[in-house]
Amino acid sequence: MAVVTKAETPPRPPRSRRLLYRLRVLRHDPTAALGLILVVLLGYLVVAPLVAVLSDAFRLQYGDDVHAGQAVGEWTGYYLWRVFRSQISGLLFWQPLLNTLVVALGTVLFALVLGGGMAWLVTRTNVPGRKWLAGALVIPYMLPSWTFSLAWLTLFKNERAGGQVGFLQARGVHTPDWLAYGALPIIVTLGLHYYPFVLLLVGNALRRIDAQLVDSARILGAPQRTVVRRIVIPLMLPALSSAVLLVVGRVLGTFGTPYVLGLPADFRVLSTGLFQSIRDRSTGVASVLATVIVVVGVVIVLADTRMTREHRRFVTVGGKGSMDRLSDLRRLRWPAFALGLVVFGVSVLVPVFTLLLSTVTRTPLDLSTFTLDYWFAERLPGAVGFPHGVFRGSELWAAAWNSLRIVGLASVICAVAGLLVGYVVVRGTAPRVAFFLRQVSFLPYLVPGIAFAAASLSLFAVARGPIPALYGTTFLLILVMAVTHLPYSSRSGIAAMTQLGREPEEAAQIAGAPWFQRMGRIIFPIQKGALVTGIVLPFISGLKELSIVVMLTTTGTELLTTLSIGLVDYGYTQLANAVVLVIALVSFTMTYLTQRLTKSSLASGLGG
Amino acid sequence: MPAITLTGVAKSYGGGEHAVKNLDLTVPDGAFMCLLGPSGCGKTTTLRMIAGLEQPTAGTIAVGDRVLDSVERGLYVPPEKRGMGLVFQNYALWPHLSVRDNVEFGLRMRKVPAPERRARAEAALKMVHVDAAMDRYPSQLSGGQQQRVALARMLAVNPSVLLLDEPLSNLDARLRLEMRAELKRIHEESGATIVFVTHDQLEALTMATDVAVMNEGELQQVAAPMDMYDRPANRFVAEFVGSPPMVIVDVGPSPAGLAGSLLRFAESRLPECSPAAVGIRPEALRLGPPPGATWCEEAVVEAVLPAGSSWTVRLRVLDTELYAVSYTPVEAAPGDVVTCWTERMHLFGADGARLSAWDGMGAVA
Repeated sequence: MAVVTKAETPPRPPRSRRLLYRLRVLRHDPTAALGLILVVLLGYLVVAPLVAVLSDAFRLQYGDDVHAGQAVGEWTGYYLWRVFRSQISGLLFWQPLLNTLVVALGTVLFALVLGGGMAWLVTRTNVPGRKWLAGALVIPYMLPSWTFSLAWLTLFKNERAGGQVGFLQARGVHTPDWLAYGALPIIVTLGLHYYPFVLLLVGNALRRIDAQLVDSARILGAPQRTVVRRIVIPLMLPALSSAVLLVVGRVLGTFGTPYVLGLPADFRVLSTGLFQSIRDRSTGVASVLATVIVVVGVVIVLADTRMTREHRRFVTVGGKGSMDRLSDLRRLRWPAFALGLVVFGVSVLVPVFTLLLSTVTRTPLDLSTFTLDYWFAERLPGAVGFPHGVFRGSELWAAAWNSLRIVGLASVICAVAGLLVGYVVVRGTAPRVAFFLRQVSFLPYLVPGIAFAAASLSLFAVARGPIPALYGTTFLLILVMAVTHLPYSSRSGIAAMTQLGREPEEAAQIAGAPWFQRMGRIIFPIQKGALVTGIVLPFISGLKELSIVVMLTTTGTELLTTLSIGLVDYGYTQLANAVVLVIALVSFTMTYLTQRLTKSSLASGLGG
Repeated sequence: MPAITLTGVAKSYGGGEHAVKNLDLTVPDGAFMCLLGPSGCGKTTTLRMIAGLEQPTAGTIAVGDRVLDSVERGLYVPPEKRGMGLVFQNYALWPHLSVRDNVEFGLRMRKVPAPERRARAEAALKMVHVDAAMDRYPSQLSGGQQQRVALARMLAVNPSVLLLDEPLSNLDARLRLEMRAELKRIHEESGATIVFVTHDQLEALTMATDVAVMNEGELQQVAAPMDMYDRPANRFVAEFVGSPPMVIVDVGPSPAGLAGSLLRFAESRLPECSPAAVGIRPEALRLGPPPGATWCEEAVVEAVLPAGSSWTVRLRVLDTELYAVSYTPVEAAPGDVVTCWTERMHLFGADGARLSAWDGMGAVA
């Protein structure tokens, strides 16, 4: 009989031996090395530019030496004072901050209600045509967010800002300022743009909830409402908090919509304030504003860490598929379908047709002034900067090729990096590395693209060490674009890897597969769906990206979006709308083709 | 076939908390060893350390002469080079591969040529009776079939060490019974050394050639199943192994009632030991006239619970409730006063370790 009596604490081997052992283990497990490489890369591409911005906020910039009474380059609190305490700080900071909060909150609520409701409808109910709805309701995300604002103006613009008025005003219906400009239109147009994002994230999570978990609660006597409140929503919490944070981050950094709908009524948010500061060349003030936004972002990241700490290692479903059972809407099936149609109409048909009609009429939406000149005319009288229809000349074609090439490459880099971040985080061999990657890969989201672009420029414009000056290269454009879209793909990568758990890989390891085989034969194939989502989402978003590229493009690297905004600046509304429609068409087509080629659907996202 | 040796193995996470404390364990060559214990006792961690999926913070793990882990000597062999088989609790089949591809995967990694790979995968699937589902995907299989595919995936590469992490816990009772027999057969046919983790003592007793009971990261006892049952090393093992569990009566400083009666008897027969607790297995507690010099007391029958092949009787003996299991029909009805007796009791010391047992003839080991 073996009776075992043991000392409570085992003898610890000497430190050097333990270290040697650790090293042997690490040599066979590239996760740690991969984690370190990612840490270095993200540190350089994400953290370093932010440090540059921060230092700009506290060093006296060229041209301010007379006002501040200090020498250029000295450490200073001048910009802090100017932004927070001076006579113009209300205009510079406090009012924009309030406006930003209102817009962010409103947009999140709008997107959550619409996106969450639609997600439930298309994933968990037997609404007629749910497959079609699931695809159709994602379309708004394929349109540039300022599409909605241009369409809004085409409909609701009043005489306040001067120039051509909108459709309603032209028909004699007065549109008050609160309807034409400011918070309400910004919230509605941004909400319409961002609800598909909530739909995708929440829909994925809803689809993956194990029906048994819900059934267990039902069997224990919980009514439907309690099941939703106590089981479904807690399980959805990671997805919901991800959705909320991604939307808030995006709204903080959004520029086009408040630029178009806010500035005519002097409704400033932080991002447009920042843009104006940069345009006015007050780099110091701009850096302080950017820093404030970064700080707000970091606070949100920490809140997220707290909220999802318990959920991080949560494996709801292993390698097995979850059950796919639907609630029966009974008599409400067709009304629900009608509701879906209305949402589709308002978020897709109305804006697209408004823009389309505006490009074929000289007076907005007045079909008696029908013309195809804005598309095909060889000569457009009066348009000096762009004296022909958009399909004539080489500008559009060159910009389109640039967009596809640059954004496509950035998206692929981004998706693979995102999946690898997810892999390292979930493997959990190095908790501190995982923490760093998780937070830092999300950071770009909370920095307005425009500030991030400026920061990247200041960092990469000159040669530093072995890295040559990158300004004006497509390489810089690809790099910055990949980094700014990393939050999408790293979030989805982490979510996908968490869902998968470690066991499928461990099983392959036991079966004798070395690391590269495990990645190539098990992890990436299983995550095909996540990978496609991780490529397509940044691609669609990058194709419409404006605030970053507006700072980084040069004449050789003109993209579709910069072409369009240039036309807006010239005042060629119809031409700008036409280019935006081209962007929408291209991004829609690309999405469709990707879905077809990989036989996976964007609507079912990670489901592969 | 090799023996698995763990020497001074410890595993702690982050701070000071030990999942496994200073474990010495030898799984003999060709054994079917069950690691048994309540959840959180460190048995799965131990299994994963043998597989190489977790690394010990101290100690040595070896299979035969081959050292797989040695923190002291800085040796480590990664899981993919250990050549073991492991079945996960939730099977971990790869959802994107067909059943055949799942099973062939390990052979592919060993660069086995295609025709042989095919034949071996088919043979493995035939062995577990799922060869009909060869071209389906894991999501199209029932839980029992998935379980069998996981087994086939492990067996296809013909490993000499098989590790199973509660593989039967997700199956229904009938399938579990069937799989127990299946695993025993596989053990006999392959001659492999098997380490099997479970929290189900019945599973351990029925299948294993050796049982190792763990609690709170420490090994409690290693023994053959019936030895473990007859001679539990301490109170924990005595109570954990056996169903219904052994009744253990604490003696205390001034024993009265049942405790007093048992103690007086024990001290009269085994004067050399002074137990702190006395235990009786329910099936050793008999009803009816005692055959000679055994411990006996009067008891009131409270309930009789027939279970087909056996009868469980709840008794009240000197203000203490006891259970007795009888394998012959029980005639008594509730309220009857009967005599209960036993000729086998276990004596435990103050530290919980088993001191001795008395089996009617005298002290036994």
